Amino acid sequence: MDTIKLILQGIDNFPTLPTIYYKLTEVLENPDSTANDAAEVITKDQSATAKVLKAANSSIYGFYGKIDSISKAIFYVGFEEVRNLIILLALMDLLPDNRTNYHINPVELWKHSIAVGIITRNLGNILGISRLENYFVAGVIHDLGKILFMNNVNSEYLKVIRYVNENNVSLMEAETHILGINHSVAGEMIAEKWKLPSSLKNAIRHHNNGMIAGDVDILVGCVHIANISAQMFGFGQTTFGRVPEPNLEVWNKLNFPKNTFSSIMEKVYNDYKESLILFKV
Amino acid sequence: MGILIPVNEVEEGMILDEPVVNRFGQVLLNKGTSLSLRHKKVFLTWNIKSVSIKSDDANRSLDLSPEQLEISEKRIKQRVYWVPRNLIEKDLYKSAIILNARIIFNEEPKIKINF
Repeated sequence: MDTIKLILQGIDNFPTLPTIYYKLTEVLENPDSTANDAAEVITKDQSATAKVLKAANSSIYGFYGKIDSISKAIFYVGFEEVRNLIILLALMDLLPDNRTNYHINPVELWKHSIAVGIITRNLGNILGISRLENYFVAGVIHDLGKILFMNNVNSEYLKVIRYVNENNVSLMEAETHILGINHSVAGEMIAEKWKLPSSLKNAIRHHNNGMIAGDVDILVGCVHIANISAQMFGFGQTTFGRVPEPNLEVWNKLNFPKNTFSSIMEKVYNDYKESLILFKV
Repeated sequence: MGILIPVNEVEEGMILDEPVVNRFGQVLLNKGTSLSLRHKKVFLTWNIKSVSIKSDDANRSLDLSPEQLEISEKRIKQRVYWVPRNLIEKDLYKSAIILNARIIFNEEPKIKINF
């Protein structure tokens, strides 16, 4: 079967998100529902409840053990972010158990994804964004398409890696050349299937340059910079070949203070270490 | 060296590591100023999003030797072919050298992840 057909078939067969995610979406979209309605949906799932509480109390959100109920998690972290954490838990289930035969190393991909989430949120914080919901998960989910490639066209992916090394092109270019589709487009198709909010879809589709339809988007711009930063910091090794150059238009639009990275690196490093323990299965 | 924090995280007694300037480049507060809640209100009025304050954490790179930083930089150059074009990219590059060195020599997170 053609590679592209295998990929499209993989998207069709890609697991759906847990039912709890869609129930929460219904609650979110219903103007009459309250935070208690959402809390009720989550608390029916004991495993999700425990994991959401653990994540909400992590240093990523900065509440350090204050959150002892889902209602408080919704109050402090935000409803949308609590719902996002369900996506994150589902992602962890999608990473393959057997790590030895994959050309994209699942553990390294996960470490990189977590790091991008942490850096994205820290960058949003520096920019003074008041609603940071979506920042962490947008960063974590940006390489969703790679999970599909890992599971469906693993052997073909070796050709992608060789093509990158032999032709000095970007990973996206090599994927398009060898597989007929790159991981950002494939990831967006899964995001469509999952009915993810547009902010997350955009982070997946446009993280390579931080722009949507020619304009820099703040969240996507942060994911773009975080993706490059995580690779430079050595947090997870997913890069084959060169680390991409940041998009100058993103720097110009977001206008970060000049000492942004030296300021956040300590917190980013500590959050990263904590998260590697927190977000394991 | 200081760390940058969002204005809403400013606490009384924090010391400015860099002067605070408004969008016209005018200095509102000098380096070394001990911050109060009144200052926080001024920042919000001037739409200042973040300020640089003194922190012990910012000096962690001093634990690393020049040789260690050099090895780290060589490793980064194997993957990063572009040259920093502006101050923020220089800061990113410098931070990457420090963090890589810490991972290589000091504190590589030895965490086993089981999926």
